[in-house]
Amino acid sequence: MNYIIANRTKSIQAGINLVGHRVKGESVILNEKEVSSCAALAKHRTLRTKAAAIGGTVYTDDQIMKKIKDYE
Amino acid sequence: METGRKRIRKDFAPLTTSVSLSCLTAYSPVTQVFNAANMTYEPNRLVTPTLLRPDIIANANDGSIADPHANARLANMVWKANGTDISTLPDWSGLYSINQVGYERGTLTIYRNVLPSERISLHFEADLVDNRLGVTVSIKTDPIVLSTVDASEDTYGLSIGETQRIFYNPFLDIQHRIEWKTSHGITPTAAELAAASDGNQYQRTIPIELFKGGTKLTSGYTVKLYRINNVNSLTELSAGAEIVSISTSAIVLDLRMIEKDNFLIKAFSGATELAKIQFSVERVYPAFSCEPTNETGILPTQRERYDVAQVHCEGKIVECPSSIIKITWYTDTATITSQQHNEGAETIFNVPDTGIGSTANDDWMEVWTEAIQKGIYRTAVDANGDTFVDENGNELIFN
Repeated sequence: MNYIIANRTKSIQAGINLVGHRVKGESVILNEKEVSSCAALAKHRTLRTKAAAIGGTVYTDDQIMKKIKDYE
Repeated sequence: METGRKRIRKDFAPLTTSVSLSCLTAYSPVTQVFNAANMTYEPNRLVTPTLLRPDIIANANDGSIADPHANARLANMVWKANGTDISTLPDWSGLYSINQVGYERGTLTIYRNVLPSERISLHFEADLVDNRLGVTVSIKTDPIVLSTVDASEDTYGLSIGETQRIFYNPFLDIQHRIEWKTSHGITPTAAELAAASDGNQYQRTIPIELFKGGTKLTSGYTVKLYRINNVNSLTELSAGAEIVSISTSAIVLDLRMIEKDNFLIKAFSGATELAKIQFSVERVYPAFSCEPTNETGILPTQRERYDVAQVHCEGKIVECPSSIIKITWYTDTATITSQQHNEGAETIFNVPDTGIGSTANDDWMEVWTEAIQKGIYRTAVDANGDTFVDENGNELIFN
């Protein structure tokens, strides 16, 4: 599974419920499942373009594990 | 000289409690998948943790409890894994936190991934002090199981992009409010339109994903939806009424038409069942209050009186309350009690019809409402069972 570091405000505007997510400032970590199933992002075809629509970048499990230490 | 004293206490009704557990993180449910191909957990709880909240409601039928949501008043909170306090278990150390604040008090955040060989039964215990009666009530939830499916290369798994317990609260449904406003000639606000699909809307899309091992399949299978009647009986469902559509990628439900149901999704290759997953849908009936707002006096010659109801739910004013609540207006006077008037969020009634008098003893009137939350929508049918449709052939529903 991939993970996305996205913009909090844009994620909320897309209808993603951010309860329980790791956050740092305006950044939030989402997982592939919630971004893929987000109705507001349905018009974007790939995970990468869906992530971009909420100001996000896609990371693998290994990559995200190196980044989460900065997140609450 | 002091005379005799007598201490008289208030008589409070006993506390009634209801306890349940909710998984707040549909994207990180209680069941994980272990992908043996790359040795990762999906999702990885270290990255997207799982949140379990005990929902504690404590109330009394005498109205002496101002706020029935009791999480904020819990004491001695303990989460137990297979019967043991997780704070004493080394394999949980640093991998959980318990929220201590407000309505979310008691919520468990789980950062711990569960081995495929493990099966962890979690439950919550706490004390709730009832200061009215000076007693302590013990709270204990039913257990919820954390487990992990080992997705080896030849194992099929079905997952849904929703929580497996879906609650529909009409008070939070902005999509329904927008449609009600539009049908009554009221223009929805930009904020409402932007929030129409905020996750509380009645038209709920449940994404479906079928995996073989760690690979997501996109073709070569079919999906069927069933209603679970009991442990031995299923009814296959097709599109219509509360089932908006069924496809291999998603099931769309109209939650307005479901009171409480358990569903089962099965994936097939030909006639061979590959995988299945169960979920439930339940309509929520939250507590609310409804009060008349017109406090002006009545003129001696006044013949009509106007009033409007204000409805509060969970600390907020409910917009367009008659879209959710059946409000019936009544008046009491010295001569006529429970005089029924119209139904709706507003009323205009004839003052003389109430029986109000013109002397100091009977020149008063009390206005009140009876309000109940409307039930589910049903398909409109005539006496012959034929369905009513609009000019485009769409079935009409009502509640």
